[in-house]
Amino acid sequence: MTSKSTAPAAGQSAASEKAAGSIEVKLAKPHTHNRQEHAAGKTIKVTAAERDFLISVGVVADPKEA
Amino acid sequence: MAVHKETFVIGGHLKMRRAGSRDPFLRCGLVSSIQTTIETNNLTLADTTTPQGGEYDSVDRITSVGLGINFREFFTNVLAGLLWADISQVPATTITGESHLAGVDGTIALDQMPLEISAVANGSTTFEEFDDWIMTGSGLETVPGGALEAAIIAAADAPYEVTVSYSSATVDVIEALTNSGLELEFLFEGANAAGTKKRIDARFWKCRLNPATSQDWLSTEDFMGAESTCKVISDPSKIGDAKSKYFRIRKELPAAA
Repeated sequence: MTSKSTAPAAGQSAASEKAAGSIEVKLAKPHTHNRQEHAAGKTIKVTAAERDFLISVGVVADPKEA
Repeated sequence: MAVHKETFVIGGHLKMRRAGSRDPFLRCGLVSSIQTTIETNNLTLADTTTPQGGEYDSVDRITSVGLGINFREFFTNVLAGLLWADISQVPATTITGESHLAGVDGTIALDQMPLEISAVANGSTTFEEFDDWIMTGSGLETVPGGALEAAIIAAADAPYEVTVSYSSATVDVIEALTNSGLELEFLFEGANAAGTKKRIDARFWKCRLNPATSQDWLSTEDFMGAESTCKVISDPSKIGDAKSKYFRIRKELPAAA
């Protein structure tokens, strides 16, 4: 089941949605985002779901700021 | 005087390292058999000094020295030798925003080997594990009747992309046939259960495994194995009278009575 009912239009590229990721998180560990490797200490923009995942695996430097 | 027997029933470990190096030997794991083979070419000079003929002289020349090894364990270094492969290790990591084209009844192979997939999404639409997709060994598949399958079908002929967030496992990557074969030195450390009941070891100085080996990846009858042949090449660095350029065997003697 989908968690949200607003399904995208047919053929809509997920890449365009990724760009909408607007939450900045500072990495505590090396991480790969959008197929680019980022070193610890770098700040990247992610979606809310991605931020939650990164916090759960301890990749975000300061979860309170995220 | 006690009867001295030199019968052999040997068990032991095969190990290897790069030929010519001073590295420690790495274990090859269990091998079911090790056979040495020496092939010769016989040169015969016909005896024409007598009408009956015969051989005036004869000599055998070595044409090749080989090893036959049946590997039954596949450490990464063993696979590298068997497959003329270059190896690398990819550490465990976390990945977000990895986009893939999704399809019904197909496996989405992720860039890295997944340990746990946390999210599969298309834009703001997220799909649930087990209801919409399930993880496979190298990626994920759609669940029949789930929302992901429905979305893919609704997209009709248009490509339907998903982004995946996951944590990946540490893996060794073995890229087959990327070199022309490593030259390896083999060390066999064995012990004799019969005869003297003492140790025996063998060093094969310079060897190249033949990649033309069949490996039974799937078998219901036995553990996986790979019967490999290996050329033992002459090692020019081994010099001196009565020093073998091919291999050397040492056998421990019983203590003097």
